[in-house]
Amino acid sequence: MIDASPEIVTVVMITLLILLVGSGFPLGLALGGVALIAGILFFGPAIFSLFYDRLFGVTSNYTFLAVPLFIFMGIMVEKSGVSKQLFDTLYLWLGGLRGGLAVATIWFGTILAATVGVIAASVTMLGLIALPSMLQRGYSKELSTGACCAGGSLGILIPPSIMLIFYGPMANISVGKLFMAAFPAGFLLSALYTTYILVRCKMRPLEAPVLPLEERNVPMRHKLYLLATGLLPTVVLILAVLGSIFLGIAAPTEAAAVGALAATIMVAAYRRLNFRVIKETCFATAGTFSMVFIVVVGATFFTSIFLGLGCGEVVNSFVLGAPGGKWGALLVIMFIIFVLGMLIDWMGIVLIMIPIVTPIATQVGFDPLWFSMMIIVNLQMSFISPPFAYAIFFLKAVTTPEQGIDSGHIIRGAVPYIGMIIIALTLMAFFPEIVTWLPGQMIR
Amino acid sequence: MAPARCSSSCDSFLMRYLFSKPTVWAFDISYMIGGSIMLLGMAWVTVRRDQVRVDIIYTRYSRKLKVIVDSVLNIVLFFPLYIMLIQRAIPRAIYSFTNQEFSEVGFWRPLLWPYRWMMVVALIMWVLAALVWVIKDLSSLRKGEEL
Repeated sequence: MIDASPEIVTVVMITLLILLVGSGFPLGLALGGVALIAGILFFGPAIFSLFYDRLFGVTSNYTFLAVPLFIFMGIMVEKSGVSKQLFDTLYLWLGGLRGGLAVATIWFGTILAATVGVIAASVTMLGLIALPSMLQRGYSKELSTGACCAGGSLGILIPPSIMLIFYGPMANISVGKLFMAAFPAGFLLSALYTTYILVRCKMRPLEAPVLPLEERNVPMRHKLYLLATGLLPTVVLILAVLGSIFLGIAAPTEAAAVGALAATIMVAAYRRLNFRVIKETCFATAGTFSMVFIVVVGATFFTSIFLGLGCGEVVNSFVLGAPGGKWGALLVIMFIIFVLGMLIDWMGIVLIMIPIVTPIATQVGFDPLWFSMMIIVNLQMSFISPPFAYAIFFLKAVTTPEQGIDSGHIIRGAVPYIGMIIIALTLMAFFPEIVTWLPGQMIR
Repeated sequence: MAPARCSSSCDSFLMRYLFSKPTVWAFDISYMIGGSIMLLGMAWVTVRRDQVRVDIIYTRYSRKLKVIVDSVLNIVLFFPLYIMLIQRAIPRAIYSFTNQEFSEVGFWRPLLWPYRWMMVVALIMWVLAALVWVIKDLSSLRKGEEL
């Protein structure tokens, strides 16, 4: 056991963490490893009892149980094959518009987001379904890939998203409220993206040809039928899940369970339900759930040591030392989150940074809910900003060589959306009601 | 690892149906089942090498360097931490069994020892799963095989 000042401990722990994570060692184990080293050095062997209690606490957390259920729901919706139909429907309705297909991609992403909740899944799905049809119709590579990245990243913002379920307990905010706050924030982003695409296509019509008339010329009845079978079930499913949380009928975990059941019924209604589908879904759910939780367990160990040794205060005084009062502090936090977001994925950020920065925000007098939305929207930006943008990597992974897309196209396509996110952040900073109004209306 | 897989998938299946019925035991059962899936699943994830990494640099490593980084860090960091945890977990599980510890969080107050033992089993499986990989990796490295 060594006696050291919190400043030294902070530096040691952060340096170790950066080294280990950078080396490519699995994130969850690296976090646990740093906790182990710092714990033994500065706390003594008593830490193992602490770790055990933490492990027990994390595994028996009721709110976290919503995670596997939402994953289950998402995979079930995917298996129902509804996503292809959903895109076709949007495509038919919006095809007549200049740039309509790109708008359809964003909206598709917005709706999918609500069922998927994991960024990799929605970017991949957009890349597989929406990207080929845009390129086929002669849309420019930049426009189509940008729409896929931006639309796909919405997946982690629009509820029910898994990230928010982790965020809630970490920041001591009710997950239901976070869901309600993220909903308008997501739609604000989606609307800004849509506006951007429409304006861009108006200015450069060559980038987005209008759909040929013969493809658009579908009878209204067919269009309505597609709308009813393709769009409606998914939207109803989402509204049912969110509505029951909003009306205070169900806690997020219960709503997730109902959603999982409803998604299964939906698959049955599309006549795709069989034993194999259920088995595959269960396995994929268990795999994803545990994969995330290895990180959660490591991060819990890490933050309990980090905060227990008083390093929270060190970060606190560092951030508060920034010029410009509370807005200066906000900018510093935003910048740290933004940079981290480019390097590690959201799991690490939410699980490590949130317990550390949330007390600072409360201390300087920000509304915790509003602050959390600022961070979450900010994270959107880091997913699509080069050089290390997860959305760009995922999209690149699903493109085929015939499409002739290189990272340059995707980056040029995605960068304008960063501007849109900055606009959204500014709007939210000046009009906090955007995110705080809906949660305030919740029936308790 | 097959039992871990099966039990976790069955659990998640069961859980969905148990959930929507608000009874006294739903709360305890659900967190116990949820925790079991999660802990047992960890071993499975390790077997499949599906862990989350920050792979910006990692993907550029040679196969040999990957093996060395993984094995060394596993031996130095992962095993001590979790073996010590198992060592803590076993007495707690025994204590829980002999003293008939009850769960304190819900109304139903079930016995806790099966859950505590499950934690022990899951942790042991997780460590074993990682151990298998380390041994496999190191032996392939010694033989100079390219996997």
